[in-house]
Amino acid sequence: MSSVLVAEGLFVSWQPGDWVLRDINFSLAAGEVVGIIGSSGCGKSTLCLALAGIIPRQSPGQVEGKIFLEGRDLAQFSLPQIASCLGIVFQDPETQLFLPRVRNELAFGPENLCLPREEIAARIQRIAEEMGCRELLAANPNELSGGQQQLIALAAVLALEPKVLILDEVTAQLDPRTCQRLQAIVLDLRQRGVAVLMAEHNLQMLACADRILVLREGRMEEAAASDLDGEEGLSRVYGGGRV
Amino acid sequence: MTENHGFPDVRTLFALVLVITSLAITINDPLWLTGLLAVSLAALLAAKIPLSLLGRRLRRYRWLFLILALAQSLSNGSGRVFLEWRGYVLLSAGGLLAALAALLRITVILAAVLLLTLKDYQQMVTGLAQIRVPYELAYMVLLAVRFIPVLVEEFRNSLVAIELRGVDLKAIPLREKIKVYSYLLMPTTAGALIRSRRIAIAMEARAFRAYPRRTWLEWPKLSALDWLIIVLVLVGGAGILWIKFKGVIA
Amino acid sequence: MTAYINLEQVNFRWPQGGQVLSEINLSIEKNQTIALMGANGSGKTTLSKLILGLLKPTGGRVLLAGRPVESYSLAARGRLLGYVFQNPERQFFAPDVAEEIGFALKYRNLSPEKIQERVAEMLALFELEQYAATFPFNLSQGEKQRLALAAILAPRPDFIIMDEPFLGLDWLRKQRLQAILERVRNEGVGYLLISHDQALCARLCSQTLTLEGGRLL
Repeated sequence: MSSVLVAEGLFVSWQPGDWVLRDINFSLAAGEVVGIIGSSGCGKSTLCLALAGIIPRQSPGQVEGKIFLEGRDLAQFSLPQIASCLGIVFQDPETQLFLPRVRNELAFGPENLCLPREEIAARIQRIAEEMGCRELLAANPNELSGGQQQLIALAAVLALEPKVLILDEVTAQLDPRTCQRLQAIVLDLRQRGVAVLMAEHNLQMLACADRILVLREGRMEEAAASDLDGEEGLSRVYGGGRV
Repeated sequence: MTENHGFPDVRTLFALVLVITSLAITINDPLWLTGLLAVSLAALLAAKIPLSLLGRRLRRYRWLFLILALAQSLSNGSGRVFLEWRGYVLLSAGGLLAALAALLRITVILAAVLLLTLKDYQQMVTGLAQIRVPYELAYMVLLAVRFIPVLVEEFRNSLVAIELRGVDLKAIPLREKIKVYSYLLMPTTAGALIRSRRIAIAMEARAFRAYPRRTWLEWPKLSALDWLIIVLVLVGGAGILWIKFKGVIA
Repeated sequence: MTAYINLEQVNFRWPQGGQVLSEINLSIEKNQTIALMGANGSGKTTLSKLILGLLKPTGGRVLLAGRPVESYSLAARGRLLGYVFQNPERQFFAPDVAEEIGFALKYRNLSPEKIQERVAEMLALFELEQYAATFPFNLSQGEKQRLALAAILAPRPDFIIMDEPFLGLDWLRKQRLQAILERVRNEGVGYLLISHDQALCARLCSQTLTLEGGRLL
């Protein structure tokens, strides 16, 4: 399997010298689903932002070490260039949607990639079908519930057909049934060779991961089988940091 | 806002609003302004935009109206004098006319801008791009314009949240009230700034500005009627300006 | 005798959208603990906003303590019902945690000593003592949720509505919040809890309501 996203000796901080993440080494292969767990505030989101190139480009922060996207150094690319290959969905759906209709949201990414009109229209239909949100295409995102907005935010990123997908706690607002649908979507993406990295608290969602990594006190390790099993393991994973 | 893809095209509306507002700003004659108001109201009626919307906006800006009319009236003392105080002209025929012109002018502009509510914000961005405004600029301008209502909404939400804490803003003394408002300023501004920053990130994370060009899902064409109106409005507007100002230029 | 909260044949639809809620009939007593569940978009938050009169029903009526909700000022509604917003940041105003908790108390003719006492009590109950002087926006997500609850409960409302208070919390932090809510319940405060978590709802509430297709099951 070829690695599409690799981090080598990655250090990330928000304030100079105060490293939130220390010496992170990992790789993500095409068609692999990897879960990241850890207590709230342990640096999962920070890792997602760094891997997507948002730190340091759009958020003030410091990144040391190397990130490779499809074998090329991420440092050479601008954020919109990265976006044509790597998609990221955030926790808060409200600030990911900014257009008056769901259809406009789904079209926005492909339009930026200069795809022809017919292909954009076809993509919108296909993705809306897969995500089960066809009846929402003409709706105003502001009038949808938080969970529906989150699905639209994901659909809008999938419309770019990324090879790597980062999901930063996207299930927080989703009901169990929508979680199941999301799980099916993730498995389908894996089938098509998309690499998925998901920071998650939701154990149901983590069940579809090929492997799970734990972030603890800024360092990363493979999760032991017992970590997600029973109170003892869970308290070990979520113990550190401010409660 | 209902979806409206057909006639009138957003560019037709841009032309109408541009011409009507520039005429309203340059012309001072109440008679001409009344004619302009009639044209704008006719356009609103033709577009099936309820005039009550205009009424609501007029009510919202009533203080601005009063102050403007008063300032115009006081600064113009020409014509027959109706009211005088120690040699200062307070109310004159010229002043009344100036105040009337100011009122008409604002009403015309508000009515014309209301025409834009026929289209949503994506359609306006596309329209701007169609008249050769760079697409980055078109999106940024409209996001900036939308920032103000977002700020107002955040402020209103915070007001609701604060009142729901059992604080009756009407009942507390002014000094306390000022303190509460200053409390609100912080979360509102911080909230709006964080929001617009996150939106900028979300846009780039969806490849915004990846290339100097982009394509558009919807790229409406001008109908014959759109062309006709645009030409008529531009030529008519230029003609009126010429008639009104040929003396000034010559 | 009508219940504390009464919804009679309540309908709601967005101006341009479809029906969100239809024919909702609901009565809740002060000391009840009720879970409100339902799929994404089923109208849970909308229902809670209707109860507070933040949204107007397109049909039917909402009574609070026997009177139409719109006959109260916002402040009066807030005194009858505490409302914890889905996003806790939305309701923080004060420069530090202690003042945030004391905020609503200042406007209820309480003596400064009494306020201080109550603030200390809430800081202890919600395990926020060490953050008394911290700027609310600098708290962790779990701490923010607890502060939001503490601030709403400080003036001792009879009933509170919580919109997804467990949002974004990990397993351990959910456990902590749950323990705190159990204490709240033992103090006799009733609540309406909006959540997706069936296990938590079952443990914290005596009754569960489910919204589906805009109707209460």
